[in-house]
Amino acid sequence: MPKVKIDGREIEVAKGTTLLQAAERLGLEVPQMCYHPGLRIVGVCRVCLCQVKGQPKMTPACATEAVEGMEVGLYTPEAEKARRAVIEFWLLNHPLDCPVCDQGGECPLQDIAFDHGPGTSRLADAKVKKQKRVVLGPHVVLDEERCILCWRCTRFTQEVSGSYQIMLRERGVSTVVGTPPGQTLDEPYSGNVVDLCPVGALTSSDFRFKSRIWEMASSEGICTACSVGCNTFVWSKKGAVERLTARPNLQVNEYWLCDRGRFDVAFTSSPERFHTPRLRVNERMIDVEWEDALLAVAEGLRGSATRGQNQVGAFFAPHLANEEYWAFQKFVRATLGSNHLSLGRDETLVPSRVDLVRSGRMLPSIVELEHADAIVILGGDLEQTHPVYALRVRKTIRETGAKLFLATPNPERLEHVAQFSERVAPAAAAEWLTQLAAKIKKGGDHPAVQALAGAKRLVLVVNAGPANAQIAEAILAFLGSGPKDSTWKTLVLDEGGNRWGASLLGISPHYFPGLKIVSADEAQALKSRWGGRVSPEPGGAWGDIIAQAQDGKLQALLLVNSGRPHHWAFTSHERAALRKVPFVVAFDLFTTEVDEVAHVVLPSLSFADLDGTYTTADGVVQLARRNTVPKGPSPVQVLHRIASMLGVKMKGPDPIEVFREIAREVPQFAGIDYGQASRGGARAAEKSLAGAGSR
Amino acid sequence: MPNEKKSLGERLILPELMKGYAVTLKTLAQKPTTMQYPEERWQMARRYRGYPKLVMDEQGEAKCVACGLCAVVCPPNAIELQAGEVPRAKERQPIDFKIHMGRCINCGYCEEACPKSAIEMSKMYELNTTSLDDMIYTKEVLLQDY
Repeated sequence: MPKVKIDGREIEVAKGTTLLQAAERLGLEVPQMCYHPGLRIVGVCRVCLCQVKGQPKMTPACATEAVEGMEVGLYTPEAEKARRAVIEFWLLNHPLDCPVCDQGGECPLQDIAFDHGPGTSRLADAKVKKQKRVVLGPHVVLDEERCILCWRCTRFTQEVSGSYQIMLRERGVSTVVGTPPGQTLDEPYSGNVVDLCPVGALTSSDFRFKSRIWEMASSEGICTACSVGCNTFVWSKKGAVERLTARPNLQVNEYWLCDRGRFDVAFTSSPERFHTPRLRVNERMIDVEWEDALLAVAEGLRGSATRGQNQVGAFFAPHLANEEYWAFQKFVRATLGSNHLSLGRDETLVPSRVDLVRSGRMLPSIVELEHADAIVILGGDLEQTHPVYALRVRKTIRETGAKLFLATPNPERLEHVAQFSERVAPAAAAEWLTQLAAKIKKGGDHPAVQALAGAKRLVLVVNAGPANAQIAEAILAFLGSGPKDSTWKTLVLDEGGNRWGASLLGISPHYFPGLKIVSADEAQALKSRWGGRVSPEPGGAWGDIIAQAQDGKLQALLLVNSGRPHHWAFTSHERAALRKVPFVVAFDLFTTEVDEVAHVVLPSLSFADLDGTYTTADGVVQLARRNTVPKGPSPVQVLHRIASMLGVKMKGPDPIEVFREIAREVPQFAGIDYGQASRGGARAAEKSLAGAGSR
Repeated sequence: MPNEKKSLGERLILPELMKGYAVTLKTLAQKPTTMQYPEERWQMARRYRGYPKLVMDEQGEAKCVACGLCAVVCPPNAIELQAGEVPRAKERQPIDFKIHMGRCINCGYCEEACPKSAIEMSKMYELNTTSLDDMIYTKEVLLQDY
């Protein structure tokens, strides 16, 4: 453990620590521009220059390893002089159009020039003129003059996303960043270069010139576009979300976001969103007051709330907050006496995940992926469905040389880094996997099979597509075919932002909260805690509920969506079936196809309007904070009112109250509170599956 | 009101009337001391701060680049603006710029904060209107010469 002295203060650091990291550990502020913890060190900006005793020249702190006995001067007059010169060079051709520049207010160049710069310019000649508006791709616009050539964007596309879509062109003073000839910056992560750019050179075309930094309110959010659960900062102005930026969390998204999640914010302030409840009167939907709508809902559900079991269906979008899932499932189970809780057409992954969790073969955390020596991706394109996990796959391949095997239905970008790839249709995935396991056991001579057979720490990523009943068995067979003393694990990914959280909280016809199988004993236990009338009979899945509606035996139906737009994808046949349900309530942000069948449509809120926690695919529970002032009550508040109209007392409506109840009742959430969920996220204990089991 | 005892002269009216005419005749020849507002107006001092206005550039557009510094410095929060992109050299301009003159306290901070000298204090001080909404000056009004 080398000991170094920085500006007279001694610190002992681990081997391999750079001077910059050591100085930051001491609490010293080191001016830095090109250094980014998520990228390789290049030491090109030269602003962290420091003086090391015994060395004739200044050395960049970010690129110098701390060695025993080093004496470093970070703020000596000489170092400050060198820094001043570096800043003068930066500003030589920098346009200084801060009033116009989007970065103004969060610009390290402004801050560093103010703190360490010369303050005046000695330049007598005209500045070098470059292009002010270069469209690099669908999301990114470049201002060449503002660029100070820190290489962050080029390093990102080379090292992290692997697209090589940004490069440096020309030499000397005319050097500019840009796309290679004939290419555009259209990779699925292009927004990250806007975050990375320390100056205002790379701007997002959605956000360009719209707001100043200080005009916006920012809050900590969680992206619900997929189940990666990327940490974001949500920035809004006058109640409209203007942009999302990445919030570093090494356990989840590191420093990155994908374009799909990042740029999907316009809907939050869309004029097409409705904020008034609508009620069907004489076959026409009319706007009504909240009170009238809630009375109508209470009236419509009153019959179901008193008699019959499993006669009310509830469909949920897969990206609701944990608190919403909990409140609604408890209401449907205890008050309406139904276990008809469905997350969508395809629920086969829930039981398979339970089997996998019980087998101890689940990848405990996405961070563990980095220790893999072989990665197999089965199913859909990871860069489309869970883009930020694909970055983790690339990182693993880059850093450990892990081999990647793709078994996906379509060609995709990850193939550039894959060792082997094969076209496998989703329906044939289970069979393919079983056959592969057999080949590995037998010791086939195909190089792919041989490479797999030699893998010690293999990770099988099963991506949404191949969900069918046999998949869990096939996965277990495959994982069991690994060589001796190997640890083969799997990561099962689903569509939707919080599907695993929903499953843990009991949005399933077959499982009570905590993945407990629906049974008379469990129903009795729930009844004793919740009161009401919990049904001991398992409910029906999507198709069963619709079939029951078709037979005219479904008394009521709830369709719950909030947070972001959701396409229910009912076929015309299913819509015809749902029209037979005497009472349908929908929560939604936009007018969708469910308007056709609904009797009451209640406006729900966007992700920026809600406090709530979300569970990632690998089981991290994370808190998202409300950013804007909502234009109406949240779905949980509405449900609370409806329940009290029906004479039922529920926990809440504050999300924190609801979450306390979750932590008390669901073993996987035990011991988690909002504090933990906001500090980088808390891990839901997937292993504690007491009472859970396969069907 | 108690009926005051009036003198004979007062009761005869006519002498009093003559007195009044005398005053009128005396001032008729004098220059008036009041200003004939609104036909006549004060020449305001050079440093006088009236209500703010936007400055035009040579192309007849607002010089403003919508940096928002005036809005953030404004003590009564009277300025509201929305920036937008324009395909011209300055790249950015206000697509909407409103000053609530009813709130403005003529402090001149906006003028001082502006990096582009695009907002300045005019000599205008008249805000008489029949509606509060008329006091919200839009970009078009603010660009007029007042």
